[in-house]
Amino acid sequence: MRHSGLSALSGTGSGKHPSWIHGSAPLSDVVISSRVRLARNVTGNVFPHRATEVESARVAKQVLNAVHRFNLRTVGSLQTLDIDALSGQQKAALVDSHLTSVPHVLAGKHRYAIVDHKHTVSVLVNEEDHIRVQVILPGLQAEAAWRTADEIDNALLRELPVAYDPELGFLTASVANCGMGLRVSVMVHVPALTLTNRLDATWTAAHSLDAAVRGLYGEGSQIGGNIYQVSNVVSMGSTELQTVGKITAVATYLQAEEAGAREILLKTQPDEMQQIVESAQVTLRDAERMSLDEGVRVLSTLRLGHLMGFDTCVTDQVFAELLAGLRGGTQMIASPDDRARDIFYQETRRPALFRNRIRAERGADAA
Amino acid sequence: MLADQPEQLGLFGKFEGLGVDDLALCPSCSTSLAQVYVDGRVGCEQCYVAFRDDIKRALVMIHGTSRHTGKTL
Repeated sequence: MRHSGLSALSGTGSGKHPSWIHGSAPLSDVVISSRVRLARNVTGNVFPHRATEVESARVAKQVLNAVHRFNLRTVGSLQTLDIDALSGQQKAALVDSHLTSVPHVLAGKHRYAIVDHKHTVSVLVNEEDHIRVQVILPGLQAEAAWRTADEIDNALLRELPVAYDPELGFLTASVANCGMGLRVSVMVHVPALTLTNRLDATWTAAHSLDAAVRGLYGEGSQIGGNIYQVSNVVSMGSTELQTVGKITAVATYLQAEEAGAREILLKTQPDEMQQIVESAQVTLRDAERMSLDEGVRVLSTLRLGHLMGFDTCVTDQVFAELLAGLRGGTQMIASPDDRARDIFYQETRRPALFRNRIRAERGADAA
Repeated sequence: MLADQPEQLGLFGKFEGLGVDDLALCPSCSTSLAQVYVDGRVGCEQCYVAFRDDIKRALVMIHGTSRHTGKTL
């Protein structure tokens, strides 16, 4: 069934959230989510960035037909979203929920996102490649995400002829993705490593395991808040499971380092920590307007405070919900004419959104 | 002009300069090898045939190998 809207994601932060946001999950004190993405192309067609509208439409039809022919027990019903028909707010919600990318929602006609009802699976049509299968789960669950992505991929490969070379592997638009076409990434929150000046050494160790580090919103993202995406660099010369294992090992290492740094901070600088957390609480209490960067920083500090035992009520659930509710996507996809207005709107609603959600959590705790 | 801005050449990192071969076009989608050097993307699967040797060299630089050992069809 094809829809032009996405009711579940079009709200202002109080509606339904993707299931990767819900509940506690393995190592979720540090690892916010795990994501696996596979890139595939339909053989005999130019890649999306070189395709005409007619060519893009033809490929989209092929992929949509194929996806709707398969019926996967583990995935359930799928909803097709015509990106071009979505409102700016709906596109931003898709980006904020990490169900698609900024370039995809800005690319024009014949772009689709096929999502499951839990919003953990998205099949993107005519992103950088004709097909991108993406699975996102809460906490450190890269292997589970891979198994679901692999199942969807196998179903697609049964239905569609894809560009593949026995020596080079799956052929992708970006030469760097050629081979497995696989990106495994984990989103991590590491504020204590920053406060203890151990972040650089940690990234050096991660790099030595062929892991790349990006900002919260992907390549080129400057948004801070101690939230990073760590992903594989190498897409050739190892198997998919080896790659998943490597990123899982990096995430496990990061979690141990961050947990250790939090313990050190609590033992050696409890008063300073209390001051930092209280200062963030005062900033939020008094704010009438809050930039995206400041919003992420305040949220990050309150989250750290909660994990250290301070009364901030920024649980796993609240943290993940408010991160998606930051609407950073709005800032990135708005047209130049609308950008100033949209940023103003988001900045003025942000402090109240945070305060209301935290208040609701506090109320739920007390009940 | 491209050779004057080696730091902007995406695929191979620092690149000494472009020769006549780099003006070669993919017979299927007309993407030039120079374009592939610049943004690291090919235009279609036939580019992998047309520019195979250059792409394999790039893959070795990126991944340490140009041989796929993952999932097969």
